[in-house]
Amino acid sequence: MPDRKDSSGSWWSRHELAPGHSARWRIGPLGLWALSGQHEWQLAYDWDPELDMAQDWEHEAGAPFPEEPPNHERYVVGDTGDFLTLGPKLADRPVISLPRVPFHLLPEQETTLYVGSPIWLRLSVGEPPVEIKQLPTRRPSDSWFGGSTREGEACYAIKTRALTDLDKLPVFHRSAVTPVLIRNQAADSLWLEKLKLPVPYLSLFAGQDSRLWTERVSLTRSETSGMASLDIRSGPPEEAPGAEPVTRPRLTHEPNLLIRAFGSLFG
Amino acid sequence: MSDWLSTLRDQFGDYLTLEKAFELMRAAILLAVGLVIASLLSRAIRRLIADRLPPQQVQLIRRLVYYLLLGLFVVAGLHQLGFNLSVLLGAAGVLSVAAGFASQTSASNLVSGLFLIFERPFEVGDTIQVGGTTGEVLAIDLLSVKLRTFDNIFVRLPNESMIKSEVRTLSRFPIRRIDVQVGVAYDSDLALVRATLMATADRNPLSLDEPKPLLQLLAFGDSAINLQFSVWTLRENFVALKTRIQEEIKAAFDEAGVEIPFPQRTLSAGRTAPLPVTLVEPAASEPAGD
Repeated sequence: MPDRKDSSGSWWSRHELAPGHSARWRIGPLGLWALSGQHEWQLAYDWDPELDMAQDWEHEAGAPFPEEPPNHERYVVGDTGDFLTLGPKLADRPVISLPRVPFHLLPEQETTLYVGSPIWLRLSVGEPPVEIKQLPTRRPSDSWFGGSTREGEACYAIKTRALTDLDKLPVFHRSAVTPVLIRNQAADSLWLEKLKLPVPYLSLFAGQDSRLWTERVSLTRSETSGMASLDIRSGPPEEAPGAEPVTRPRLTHEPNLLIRAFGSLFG
Repeated sequence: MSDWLSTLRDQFGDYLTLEKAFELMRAAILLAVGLVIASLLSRAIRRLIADRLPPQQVQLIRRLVYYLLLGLFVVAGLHQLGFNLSVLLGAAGVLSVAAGFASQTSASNLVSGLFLIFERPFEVGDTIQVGGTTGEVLAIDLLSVKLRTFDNIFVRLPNESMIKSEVRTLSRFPIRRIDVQVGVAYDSDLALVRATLMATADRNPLSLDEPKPLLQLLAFGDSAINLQFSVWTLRENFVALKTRIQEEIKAAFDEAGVEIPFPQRTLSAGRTAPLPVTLVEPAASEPAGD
């Protein structure tokens, strides 16, 4: 019988599981079971297609480990303590956001879009924590972003509402929100049907309401092309005052990086 | 026997004067110095170009430098011993023409190997398809290319045949297209078929969102409308998606009620009246014969 069920606050935390004890977590469609043993951990995980769009989470301490565990994995460790740490992480590739309704940004105009990025679950065991696994809370579709089928970059693609109004943005537990300031300084209007966010360069911050944020990103388009200069303002965005840093970026970026951010040959 | 040995000893004694001994020693020293210099210089050149050229070219240039230098020192050593080099080189020229005629195939493979190394249609580690053979390139040598096929067989392909035939490098570009050919029944709703296929690709995360999947109507076949559904994927996911997408298409068609027909034949009696067809009830249970 589960000892305790929790679904409030944030899901990223450290848990102590004595040998023989198990627990279950669900973050969006991702279900995770963990069983602690003598110098070993067993994991099982699966994605429930019926909860594909779910954004909530829950934790059941003491939930039994499945008899026929899906994606069963076993990790043998030294005497590092009975701690299991769950943490969030941004994707390992850039994420292409596809607005459900593409739009034009007129010349000499700028706007701030609130764009969601998928979150990976990072599992670590022991003290100090040793990372054993990273799992997407929802596997986004692979995509390709580039000028041709020969040159480009492997990305993930997600559909987004690309909201401009922060008040309409619900609290998601398996997505991080990036405020993206887009400046169109070119002579023509910008047809925004896809936007590439370089999320491996971004950090994660946890807001007061357990919402995950990244730094504010500015993309400035000055020529009639899909290229834009990228600027990442360090620290939490002003929309989340007092947000605490949770994870560091996977990659460090050079200042004034010019990236292909809008559209592509296939668009 | 002893006479022959003593004659040989006398002749060798006449030849090996003190001066000759010095010449021999000088030649040996030249050879030893040549070995060291050739080895050091070829290593230095390897270090210098290792980051700029692929491993096959580095190896080739290194060997060329090594053997060229060593050859120069051997020639100098022979000259020290009093050999007439013009005669020797002339003989070598005649010998090389004779050897060239005798080993035409090897020479052709050698030249083809040089072309392959400098043209670089593929590199070690690439997956290539030559004729009916597909495999991972293990080595590109001067005479042949070595492959490991996916059923773990070692294949040696002569360079000459590689130059002459079509070589497909499957791992050159980062994304690949999978063409799935499927037939649907003539009474199928093609809009439903299109929507089902597109939704199937959309559900599979390995199928790239961009470039978009493509549905083509290939032909009105004998038994089915033949379609080709093309999906793109990252190169490393090609095999996984190729199998999975076909299973998923079958399942999606079953769910949507789209029929993948078997080969069919329609019998027609031409202009005459249709052939009468009579259903015959199976005979009542007959006693089994002995």
